[in-house]
Amino acid sequence: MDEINSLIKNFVMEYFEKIGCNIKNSDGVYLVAIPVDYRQIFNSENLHVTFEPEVSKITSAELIIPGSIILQKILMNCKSKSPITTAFAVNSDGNNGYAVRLFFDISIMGNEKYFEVITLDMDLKTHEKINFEPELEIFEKLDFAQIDSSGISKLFFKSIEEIRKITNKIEEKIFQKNNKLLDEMEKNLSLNNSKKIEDLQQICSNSQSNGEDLKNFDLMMDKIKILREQHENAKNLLKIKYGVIVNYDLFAATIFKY
Amino acid sequence: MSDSVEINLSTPDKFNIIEDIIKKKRKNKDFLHLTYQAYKISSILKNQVLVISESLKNSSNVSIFDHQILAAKKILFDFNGTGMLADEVGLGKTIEAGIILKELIVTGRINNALILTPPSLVPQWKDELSTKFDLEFLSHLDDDFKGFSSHNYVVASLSTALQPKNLNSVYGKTWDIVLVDEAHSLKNSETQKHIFVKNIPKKKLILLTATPVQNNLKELYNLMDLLQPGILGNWKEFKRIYVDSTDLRKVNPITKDYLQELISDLVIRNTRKEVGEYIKFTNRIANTHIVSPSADERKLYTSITAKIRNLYQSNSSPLVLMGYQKNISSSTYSTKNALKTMKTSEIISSDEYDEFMDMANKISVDCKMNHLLNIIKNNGSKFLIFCEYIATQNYIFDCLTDAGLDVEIFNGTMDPSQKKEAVNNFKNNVQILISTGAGGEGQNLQFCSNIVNYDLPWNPMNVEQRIGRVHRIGQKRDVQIHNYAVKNTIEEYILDLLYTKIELFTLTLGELDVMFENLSPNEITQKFFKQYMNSVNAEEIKNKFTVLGNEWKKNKSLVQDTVSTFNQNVFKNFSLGSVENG
Repeated sequence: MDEINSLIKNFVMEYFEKIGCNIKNSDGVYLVAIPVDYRQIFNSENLHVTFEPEVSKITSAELIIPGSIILQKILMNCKSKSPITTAFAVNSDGNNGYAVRLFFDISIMGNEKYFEVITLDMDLKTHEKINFEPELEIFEKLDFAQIDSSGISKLFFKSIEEIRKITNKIEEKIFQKNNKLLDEMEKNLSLNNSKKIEDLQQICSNSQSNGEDLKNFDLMMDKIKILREQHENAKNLLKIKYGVIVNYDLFAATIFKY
Repeated sequence: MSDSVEINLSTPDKFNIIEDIIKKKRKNKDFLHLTYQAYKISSILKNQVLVISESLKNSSNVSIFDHQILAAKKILFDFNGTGMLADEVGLGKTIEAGIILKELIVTGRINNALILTPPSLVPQWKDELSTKFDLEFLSHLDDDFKGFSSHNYVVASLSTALQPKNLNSVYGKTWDIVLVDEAHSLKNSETQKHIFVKNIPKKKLILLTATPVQNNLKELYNLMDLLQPGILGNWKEFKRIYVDSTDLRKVNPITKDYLQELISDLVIRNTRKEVGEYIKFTNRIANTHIVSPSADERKLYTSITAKIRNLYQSNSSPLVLMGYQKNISSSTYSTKNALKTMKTSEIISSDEYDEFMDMANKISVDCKMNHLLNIIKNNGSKFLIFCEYIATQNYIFDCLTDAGLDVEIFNGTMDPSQKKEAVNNFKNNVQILISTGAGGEGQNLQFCSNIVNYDLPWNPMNVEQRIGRVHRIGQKRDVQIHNYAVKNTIEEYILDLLYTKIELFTLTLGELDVMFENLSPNEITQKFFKQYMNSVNAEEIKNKFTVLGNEWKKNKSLVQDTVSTFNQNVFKNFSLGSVENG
């Protein structure tokens, strides 16, 4: 079983346990009894699942691998939770003050795409990034009400600047690649358009020198005007198509003493 | 140098976490680790690439485009191999399906697959999977086919698979994946086809259709329900929530976004407009040539047609007679061929045979050929000439080679290696390929941009299949289509009806299916023949064909209207964007 499948198995089993499922394992097939509150998610009271492709071939158990519908449902359920917790830093003396760990889902999408989860620890008072990553342990007794979090909005924007420093190289790489593609596309577009306009101009000048009807000449001029407008529109469309989208999506936070 | 691309930065806090922190609100503490893991796994999956993508991108047998890779990834990684590929026609749904199948096979995720298609597309599927993806499927048309359960990778026509004699064999094992092409044929849940596919034991199901909605939203509901039963609730609920209360064809504007979200969990749709920025689609230019026959040709055609009409009215087998009528419209060679068979089967007497043969022998060159030679000689580029019969193929070959032109032939009697050689020769050496039927199915002939329909397939689907050989992704020039018919023959009326009245070229294959939905290809051609045989003069023929044309034209506008309304309401801003963001 490769790394991702192992990660998925641990995640799914942890989820079933967390929501209080009764689980029985029989030769790689897990019979999972879903608690009442969660049955709506799975449209079922019981699930037969396996993480082994070989087992799925000889049984009716649903194979949980990337793309599995059950996995998708669990992922969606967990991703909708947006937890806010309190904790303390295990390897710190606790005299530095309070900080917040922000969890970001990062996506940078151009012609190439990049996805990552990044956590960032920011001091609540100074709004500076903490330059070590303390191990946190959930601590419900932390007196949340007494902690000054009034500057959290400013801190949030500061944290975006910090993340940008981390992802800067990848963003730049994707940006440059898109720029190159845009450049190539625009060159082709201009070339095609110039050729069409040149042809029309040639027809215009021919009809002028032949003393032909001015009506035709006007028609050609209109066509050239339309071509130029179309070219501008196409250029704008290309700019949109090759634009780079950067998302920093906040999905959880932990306030902690360190 | 271009202007720089824009960077669009967004920092959403869609869960209002910052506001909740200010309110000192704790929530879901037990889920912190799971939520973190969920996002992490999603990121890893989104970064995942197809195992086969590099080998495909470097393959000389197939051109792969980004939207096809994205669609395949979405089906494989987000939908677990069950979903609908609903790209507009011409964007390569077959390629997308091929990528999915290849990836599943290479990574050992499937050990068998069943592909169900319309009958005419069985050879094309088999051929494309073999030549483009190196995947060998067996079809029910192959000599060594021993039944559905005896083979792991099968492509068959849906209508063959559901025959009672095959049911046990199809249902005899659990298929790792079933793929149905032109899946709009399953839109009605009461039909045998729908029920058959629903009951096939299968782990994954992929439906391919360019027209998931043709007449009303019940059709989309039925297809979605086939993919994932219950996903849209029951029909009554679905109708109440998502369908406009006054019109079954329209989406309820209030719940449109929810429907779109539900659909995007199972359906991928790329449109020509979206991918058109990087894939250039060229135009189809139809050139209709109604050629005046010589006096000898006219005499021969009218004499034999009169004989056939007499026989038709005296209740002789209409199918056989239709075959003869098609032959005499094709060429002098095929006419002579037909006369020999008519004599052997005693449809005509020896005297009649001699009389008709004398007429035929007086014709030196067909009027269509004279016209065609002029076109080819004035144009140095490649020509793909289609005809229905081998006799006509031989005739065209003789005439063109006599005129000093380089010609290759392609027909159903050739084995695969001969066919491949013929296509290679056409690509690299000769100017002209003459092909029978919809020959060359599965072959990419985009290097040629001139098609000649020397005779006309009476079945409109076959016309589209012929054109589809060259007018596809990769074609760099506008495609010139030369359609021939001899004046005052049945073909002239068919040509006028199909191309002028209902503008066949503006339709897609999916739309054609709907327009003629209650008619099989045979019924369409028989309809033409019947009208022609039952008319006593040109005016009557014209009137009857006009009625037929108006009826189909009405169907056409209804289909196009429904499809376009649905696209605007549900698929707008849906397809490629959702794939990329998926």
